[in-house]
Amino acid sequence: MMNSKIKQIFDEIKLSDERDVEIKALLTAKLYENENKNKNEMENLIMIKQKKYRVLLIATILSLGLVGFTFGTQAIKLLTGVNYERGKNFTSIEMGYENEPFEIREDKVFFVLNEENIDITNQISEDDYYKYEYTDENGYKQIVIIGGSIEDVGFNIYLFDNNGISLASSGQYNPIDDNMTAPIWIQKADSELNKFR
Amino acid sequence: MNDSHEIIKLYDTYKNKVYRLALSYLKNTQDAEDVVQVVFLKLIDNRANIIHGKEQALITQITINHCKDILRSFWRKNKTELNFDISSESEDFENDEQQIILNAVIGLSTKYRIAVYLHYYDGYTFSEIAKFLNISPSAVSMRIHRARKILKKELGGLYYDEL
Repeated sequence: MMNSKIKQIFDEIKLSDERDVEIKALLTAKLYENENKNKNEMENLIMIKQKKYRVLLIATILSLGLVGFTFGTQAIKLLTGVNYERGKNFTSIEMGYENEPFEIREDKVFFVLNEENIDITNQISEDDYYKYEYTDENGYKQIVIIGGSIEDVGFNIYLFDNNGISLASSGQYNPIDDNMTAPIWIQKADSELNKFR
Repeated sequence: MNDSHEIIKLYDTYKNKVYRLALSYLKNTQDAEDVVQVVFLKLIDNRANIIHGKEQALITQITINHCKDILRSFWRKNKTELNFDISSESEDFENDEQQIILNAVIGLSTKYRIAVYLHYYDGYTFSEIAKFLNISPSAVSMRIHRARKILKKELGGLYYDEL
């Protein structure tokens, strides 16, 4: 039959193996690129969402604190679980936390670091903060401050060396506006703790 | 459809169909190869429109649209001579008869050639071809009828009763 002959003839016409491999590789690359693009877009969305609705992670190096420093790298694990490190040519502190300093239970806020369990509900507000001090065996002082309303609790931890020099801080809080302005309680704490710098 | 493996599976299944259709349209192997590439890249971009069970129709439509775009393009219109190298595709043909038939089909004008290809090779009905080409089913019928007449003449009546 003529149509079967046409079918037979066209069946023998095939894409060359060389182009087949090229095109397949291109398609695979495109699919891979799309998947990663989608993944990145999703990650960006999550990041934007976090910026808008979640907290701002902060970490500040306040002083190089090199007084009396000699060789090697010195590392201090803060109560919140983040690491402060300083070497000959660098100083760093991690952002955020591993151990959240507070817990909210039955509409009350508790300070829970360092095996404490202190009800601080009445000591914190949008304008004021709770302060916890801890000094390690080497004389390094850590001051944890917690502030904000119960719906919007934030914290910051400051590290001071044994000379009272403020070395770094790390924490998280919700900015009060789109300009990322820190809430009053943390501004107040910064101001009051500046005397250590 | 979101699975990359499904797209590659569609490519493996339909790559030669796309190539043959494009070759029928463009009569140039390089252009036809490029069409295969473009069609499946477009398929990736339009994967949300793929309906299970209707993949071939979508791929055929994308192929036809892209081939029409190429034929309409300034570059193609101003090509001094079409590089009709389909003969290189037919080196493995068993006999002269196949070559004669192929030459006769390829020698048809584009509108008849595509109608013949879609109907006799891909097995589409007149109505389906009409949708692909955006013409009426009766126009498809007319093209097939005229193509058969031309083929009959070209082939010397050899296959008159068979087509």
